[in-house]
Amino acid sequence: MVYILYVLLPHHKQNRMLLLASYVFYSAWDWRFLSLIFISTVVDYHTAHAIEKNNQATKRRLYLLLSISTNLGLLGFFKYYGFFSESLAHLFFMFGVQIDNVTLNIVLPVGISFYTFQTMSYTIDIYNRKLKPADNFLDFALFVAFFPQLVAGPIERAKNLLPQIYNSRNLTLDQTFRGIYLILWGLFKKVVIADGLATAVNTVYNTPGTVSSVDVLLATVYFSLQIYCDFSGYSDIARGVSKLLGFELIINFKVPYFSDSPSEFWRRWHISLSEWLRDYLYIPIGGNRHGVFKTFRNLMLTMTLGGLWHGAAWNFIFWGIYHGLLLSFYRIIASLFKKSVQANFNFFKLMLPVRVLVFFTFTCFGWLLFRANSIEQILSFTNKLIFFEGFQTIIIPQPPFATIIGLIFLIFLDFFEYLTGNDKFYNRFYPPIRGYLYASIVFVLIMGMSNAPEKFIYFAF
Amino acid sequence: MDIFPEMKKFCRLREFFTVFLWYIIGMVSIDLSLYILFQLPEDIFEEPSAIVNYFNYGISVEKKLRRQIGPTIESTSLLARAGWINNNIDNKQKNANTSDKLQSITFYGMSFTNKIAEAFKKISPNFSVRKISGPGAPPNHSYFAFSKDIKANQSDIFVFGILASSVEGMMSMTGATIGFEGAAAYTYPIYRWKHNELEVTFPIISNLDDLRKSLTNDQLWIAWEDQLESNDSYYCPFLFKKNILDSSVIFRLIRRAWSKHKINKIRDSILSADGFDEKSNTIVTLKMLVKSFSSKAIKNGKLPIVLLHNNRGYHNHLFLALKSLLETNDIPYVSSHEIAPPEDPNSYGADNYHFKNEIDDKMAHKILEIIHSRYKTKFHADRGLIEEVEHFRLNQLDNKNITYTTTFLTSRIKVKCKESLYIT
Repeated sequence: MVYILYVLLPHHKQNRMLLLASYVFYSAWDWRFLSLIFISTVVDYHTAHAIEKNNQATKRRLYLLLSISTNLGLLGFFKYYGFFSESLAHLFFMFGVQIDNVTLNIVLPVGISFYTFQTMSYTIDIYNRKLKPADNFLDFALFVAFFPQLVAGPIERAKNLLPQIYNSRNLTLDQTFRGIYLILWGLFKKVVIADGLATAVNTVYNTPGTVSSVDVLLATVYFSLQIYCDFSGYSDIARGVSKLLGFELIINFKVPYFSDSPSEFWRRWHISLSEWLRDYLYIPIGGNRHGVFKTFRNLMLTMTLGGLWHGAAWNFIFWGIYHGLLLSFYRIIASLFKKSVQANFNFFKLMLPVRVLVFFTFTCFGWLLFRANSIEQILSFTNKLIFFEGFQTIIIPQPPFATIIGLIFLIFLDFFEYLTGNDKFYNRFYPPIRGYLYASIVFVLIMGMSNAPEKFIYFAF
Repeated sequence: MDIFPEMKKFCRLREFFTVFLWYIIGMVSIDLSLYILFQLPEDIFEEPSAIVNYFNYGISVEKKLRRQIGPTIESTSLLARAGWINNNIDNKQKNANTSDKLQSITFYGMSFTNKIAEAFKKISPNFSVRKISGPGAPPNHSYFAFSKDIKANQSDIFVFGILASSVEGMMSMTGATIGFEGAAAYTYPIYRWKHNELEVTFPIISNLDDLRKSLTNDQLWIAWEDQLESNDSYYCPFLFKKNILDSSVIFRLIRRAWSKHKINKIRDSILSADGFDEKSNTIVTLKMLVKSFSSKAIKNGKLPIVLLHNNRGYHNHLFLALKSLLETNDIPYVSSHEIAPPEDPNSYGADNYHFKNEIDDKMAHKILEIIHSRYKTKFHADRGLIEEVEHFRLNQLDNKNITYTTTFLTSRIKVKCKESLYIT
C-alpha cells in the first residue's frame, strides 16, 4: 500500500508519506520510543544549524558536544545503564563492599545504536564543514527515521542519503529488478539459513548440560554463518526496499568470509559501522599517524568501543578486544614479513585459499566470544576446542534439509561475487541460467519457510 | 527524437520477460521433477524415506486420510487405526480381565506416557499395565478415555499423562488437524469450562468405521468438516481440503509452512516466555479436567496419579500451571522437570524428542513410590503368592488415626487379607 501510494505521489509528498510510514513502522514495536527518535532529531537539527551559523570555535564545539552528549546519553542510559551499574556493584563486592545497585528494568529501544550513530555523524560532518545542514526539518527527520534502515542499519551518511531525499527520484527498471532480487536474497539468507541454523546454535550455547568438542566447533561455525546471513540478509532487504523507493543505500557486506586478513575483514564486514568508527573515532584520536604504540592504542580503543556498541555485556567487549588484537598483531606481522612476501609473491598468492581458511578460523573464535552467554562458557568452550576430545557429537542437531541446500547456494553465489568483485555478477548469465537460478532460490526459500522463525539478531542492538 | 533510451528500455523489458519466462519454466520443471522422483509408495505399509516424507508432508489432510484408510481394517494404515478410544478400551478391558497379575494400573496419555508405562512394567512385574493412548494425544483425549473406561475398568491405579506440548491440542477434536504432517485420524471430544461446568462437544465421527463411511458419504463428510470448522481451532480449509494442487510439490511446501504458522499462532495464544496463560480457557479447562479425573478416581476407590511431561520448549511451565491445583487438592503427581531439565538436550534420546530410557525409569520409580506411600496392596487370597519384599507406611486410616508399618515377607506366603484400603 505504501509503495503504491509512493509511486503515485509527487516528490515532496513522497517524503512526507515516507516519514509518516517510518514513524508508524517504528511505533509498531513500541510507540513510546518514538519520543527518543524525536529528541535526537530535534536536538541534532538545531545544533547543526547553530554550529553552521557560529564561527567561534568554542561555541561550535559546545553545540557539537550538546549533540554528542544527547545521543550518547540516550544510548548510554537505555543500553548501558544496567550493565555498568551491575559491573560496578560486582567490582565493589570483590573488595568486600556491598552496594545496592538500582535496577530499573530498562527496555532497550529497537535500533537505538543505529540512529544515534547516524545523527552524530551528521553533526560531526557539519562541524568539520564537510556538509551543509538540512534546510527542511521534515527532510532531516526522514534522514533520521528512514524505515528500511532504521532498526538494523546500514548506518547511512548524510552526504549519501540527504541529497537523495532532497532530489526527486526516478524509479528505473534496473533498480526495481535489483530491489526485488535483493529482497528475495535477503529473505533467503534470513529464513533459509539463519533461522535454520539457529536451533543448532541455541541447543549448544544455551544448554546447561554436557557438550562435546565437535558440538562446540560446529555450533560456532554455524553461528558465524547465522550472524552473517541474519545481518547481511536484513541489510539486503533494507537495500532492496530502498531501491524500490528509488534510494541507494550503502553496501554493508562484501562477502566478508573470503577475507584473508583482519584489515580486509573490516573492509568487508558491517562496512557502515567500521567506516563510522574509522572516520569518527580512530582517525580523530590519531589513527596510525603517531607511531606504533599509539597506533596499537588507537586500534584497541576503537575496536573495544566497537565491541561495546554491539551490546552491554562483557563478551562483546572481549570480542572487540580480540579483533583489536588481531588487527594490531596483523600489522606487526605484515610489516615484518613484507619483504618476504614481495619476494615470493606468486607463492603468497597461491596460498590465498589457505590464508582465507586460516583467517576464517580466527573469525569463528571471535564469534564464540560474541555468542557465549558467560565468561565461564567462553573458558569452557575454548578449553574444549583447544583440548579436542573425540570426534562425536552429543547434542547438536542436524540443520534442516532446506538450510543445507541454502548453504550450498550461499557458498556458490558468494564465491562468484568474490571472484568477479561484482555483486551483480548474475546479470552476465544467460537468461535460461538466470531464470533457473531465480527459480531455485525461490523454491529453496519456500522450503525454508517451514523453519521456525527467529528474530533478527541485530535488532537487539 | 532520441530513440536509444526507448530502445534500451524495450531491450531491458524484453530481457526481463525472457528471464521471467525461464523462471516460470524453472519452477514448473523443479516441481514436476520432485513430484515424479519423490512419490509416496503405493503400499501404505511401506515406510517412505525421510526425503520422500519431506516433500509429501504438505499434502492436504483429506488426501492423507483417504490414502491411509482402506475399505477394510487390514488395508488401513497403523496410524489411522491408532488412538480411537472406543476400540482401544474394549480391547484393553478384555485383556485386563484375563490378567493374572495382582494389581492393575492404567496409563492414559501418549507416547511419553507409554514409555513410562513400559518402564513401570519392567520394575513392577506384579502389576498388569494397561495403556490407552493416541499419537500426540492431548489431555481431552486422555480424560475422555478415562471417563469412558472407569466404570468397567478394574484397575487400582489410574495415571493421567499430560504432555506440555500437547496442551494446546485441547483446542482440537482430531489428531488429523493437530498433527498436520502425519495426520492421525482418531477423534476425541473437546472440553470447555463454561458457566462453572465442563461443557463437552462430542465428535460426530467417533470410530474408524464411521470415518471410513464418511469417505464415501459426502453428506457425512461435509457434516464432519462443518463440525471441525466450528469447534477445532486447528481446522483450516486450506490445509484440510484436497484439491488439484496436492500434486504440486511447491504448493505442498507452502501448505506445510502455513500449518507451522497456524500451530505457532495457536500456541502463542496460551503460552508466552513467562509460561501458560492461566486465565485462558484452555488452561482453566485443563485444571478442571485434572481435578475431575482425581475426584472421579477417588470416588471409585482408585488412586489417581498425574504424570507431567515437561518437554523441550516448554521449560517447567506445565508444572507451574498445575502446581497449586495439585498441591491444594493433594493429587499425587510426578513431574519430569524434577528429573530431566526440559531444555537440556542431554535429557533426550536418539530421536531428540522423547526422554531417555533412564529418565523414564526414574519416573516409573517415582510412580511406584507414590503407590507405596498412598496405597496398601490388594491381595487376592486365591491368587496367592507375593514375589517381592515391600515396606508400607500408612499414615492415616480415615478418621481412626492409626499409624502402623507393615512388612510383608517374600514369596511362598499366602496372605489371607482380602480388603484393600485407599488412603487419601
